[in-house]
Amino acid sequence: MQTAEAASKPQFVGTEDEQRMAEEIFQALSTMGRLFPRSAPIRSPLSALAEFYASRHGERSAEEWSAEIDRVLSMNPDVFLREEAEGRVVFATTREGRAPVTEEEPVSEHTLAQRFQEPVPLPEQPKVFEPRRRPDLVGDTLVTEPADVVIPEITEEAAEPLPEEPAEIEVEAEVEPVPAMEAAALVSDEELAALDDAALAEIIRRDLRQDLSVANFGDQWMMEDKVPRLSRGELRRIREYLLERGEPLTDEILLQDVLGLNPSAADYELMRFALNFRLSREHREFEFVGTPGQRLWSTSGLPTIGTTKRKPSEIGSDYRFLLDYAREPVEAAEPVVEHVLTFYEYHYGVLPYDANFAALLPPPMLPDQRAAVLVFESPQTYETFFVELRYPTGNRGGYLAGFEAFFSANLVPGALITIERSENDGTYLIEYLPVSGQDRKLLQLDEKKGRYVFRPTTFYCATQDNMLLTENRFPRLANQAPLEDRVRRRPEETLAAVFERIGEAEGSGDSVRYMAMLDDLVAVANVERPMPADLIRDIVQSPSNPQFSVDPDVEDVFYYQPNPAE
Amino acid sequence: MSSVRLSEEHLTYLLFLLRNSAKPMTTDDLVRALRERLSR
Repeated sequence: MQTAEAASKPQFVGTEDEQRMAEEIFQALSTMGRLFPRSAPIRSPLSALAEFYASRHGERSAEEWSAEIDRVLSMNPDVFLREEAEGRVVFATTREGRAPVTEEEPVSEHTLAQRFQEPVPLPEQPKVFEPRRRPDLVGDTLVTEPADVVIPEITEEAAEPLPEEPAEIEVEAEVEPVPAMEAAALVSDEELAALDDAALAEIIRRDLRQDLSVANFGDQWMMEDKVPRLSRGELRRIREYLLERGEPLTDEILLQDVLGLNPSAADYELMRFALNFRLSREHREFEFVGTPGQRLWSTSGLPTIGTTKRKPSEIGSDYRFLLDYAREPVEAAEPVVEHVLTFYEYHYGVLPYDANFAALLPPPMLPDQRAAVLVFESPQTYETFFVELRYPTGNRGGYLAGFEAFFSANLVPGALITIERSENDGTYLIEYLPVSGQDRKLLQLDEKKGRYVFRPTTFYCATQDNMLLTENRFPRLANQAPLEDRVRRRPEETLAAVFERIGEAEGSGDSVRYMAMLDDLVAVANVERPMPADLIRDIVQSPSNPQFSVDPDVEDVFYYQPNPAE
Repeated sequence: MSSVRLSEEHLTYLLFLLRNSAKPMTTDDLVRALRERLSR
């Protein structure tokens, strides 16, 4: 009979991160050995733990995690026992959260490795081992690495509890599909039944991801050992095909073109899952950049999507403020976003992953997904191009990159565009409103001279006048140099520089004060860096920026005084 | 929600379903199966 028992919760030492890592690994090991006796050792080689950890924390490879895991687990000798055998490190713990007791005199003549090398006669009563052989139903389900995990411990210590345990394990397996078991639950059945589908799904996802024997890709699950494997040759051919085509490809193209599968084949869906799952384990060579509706794969060496004028990490830092303005994306009635292009967006061919776009675009499909490659179609110019959606990270905002050529061929800063989701969440339409030719002298960056200039420009797209950077509006921008990076990294300093460039000066010397309107500030500040009106308002109104102030009588008129009076 | 976990028996039941499925199952499939089991 399964008995109710409180989950063991050992205490770990170290920093918060180290404790979290130790806790996660302990959970994984406990899950792996959930049917083991409470004091029986659950072993796993360090390499397997590192691979498991890397699969959930993709910021480092398994090799890199290995040393860290070794160090952290070794800091907790009360919980984890570190063993070295035949040049590899193995960690052991028990379900009760205590390190298993080391054998004082290891019995060497019965190690598995030795028995393979020097076969010895079978023991007369092999039934000693029988209790550990659980019925297939449950046994196979729970053990991913049989060789490493269930090596029978031929020691008195490990064998001791066995005579008492079998009955419990057998019964547990037999009652498997039958309901009305006694719950060893951390949450009651009533509580569980009261949860909505989304909450239940979240719990299932989290619990199954803890289990090393379960394969997961996106929203699909399967036992790992039942997922067909890809040979090294197949992986190599997939990589070569991606490089040959020079662009990310969908799982279906790879299945059909590289692995030669027919979509009507009975095992097509199984192989599709296998391809996605197996590629997701090859962190070094393949990267998932797809969406649920368009599962694209990329490999190192493909042409980069996005501008070469500025590093992706720098653009991400420019958009860092979006993290502070992150709102819960609200799905609009229509899957369309209207947007007015700023100079910065036009110059680098980017768009912000703000709340509006977050509601339109798909969230990451995998927990550690860095980017998604989306297909953009322009029905007006018959173009189709790839755009990379970089998801936000801890200290960088998200953005879309890859519009540089499209913007420069068809639009000007200030243009009004619409982006609409198609039936597939990986494909979008980009459109603008065509108008008869307009001639204006518009701001451009002369990259050779490193200066802003106004050049006569003819454009054929509808614009929003308050974002149009014409010479009539901002004559003083001519021949100005772009701000230095250290200035434009800081929104407050950028705003101060913008006041000095376009504001109306009042007074002189130390008491000089600049006045500007919000529309003008937004248009010009966005030449240097992304800076929406909300951000400008917040900077100006913040008590920590006494150099800025708001006009008490006129809405959206602001002041900047370089040396504010105390 | 982060403190809520499935009991061993529910988890083992889900693993049983996965082991006996020749095709990958979706999270929705598992939610449905668990609900059905809870309602019995």
